[in-house]
Amino acid sequence: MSVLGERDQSAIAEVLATLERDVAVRLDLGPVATPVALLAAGGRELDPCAETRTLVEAVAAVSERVRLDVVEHERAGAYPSLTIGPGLVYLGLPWGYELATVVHGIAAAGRSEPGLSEESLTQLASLDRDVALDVFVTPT
Amino acid sequence: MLLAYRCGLASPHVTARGIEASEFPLLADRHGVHSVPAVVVDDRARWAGNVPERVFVDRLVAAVGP
Repeated sequence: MSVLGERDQSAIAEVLATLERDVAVRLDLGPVATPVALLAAGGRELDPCAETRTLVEAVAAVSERVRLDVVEHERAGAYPSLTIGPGLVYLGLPWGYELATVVHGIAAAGRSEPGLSEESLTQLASLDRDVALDVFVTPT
Repeated sequence: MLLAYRCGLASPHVTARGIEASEFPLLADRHGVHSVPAVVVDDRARWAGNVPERVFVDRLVAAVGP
């Protein structure tokens, strides 16, 4: 049985049905270098790596186009780390609304339509050097 | 967050990363993040809150500079 409810599974299936090609998703797990206690509703302590694996495996099970690869590391690092397609990264447990972001990220990586306006695409095409774009979020 | 991912897909120069701030407080502190969502571009520019696509891309391109 999936950790996702029927309603969530169906919503995720609807989004992933738009995939035009396979999307590689890699989940890197291992000892967390600077562990932080995460509590679920009710006070249960969460293991971010185990919870992320369960969630991401459940998402991948919804679509044959999602190719999930789970890599276990022995050395401590910033885990869990999810890499979608050509290099979209999510660090941490993608719960709540962030799971939807990850699902839509997979969908965006698997479609040819960029989801941005022509004006934005023109501006982005003017970039001539590498840039790191970090977005800090919290689960909601 | 999804906007950042779309920019990452649209440009080979953009590396887009979402970070769960409460799990990585040191990283958030290092970037001076006190509220979310917070966007940090190359540690040279940052802003908090959701903004429309046009503003987001303007700020991203301006942060990279000429």
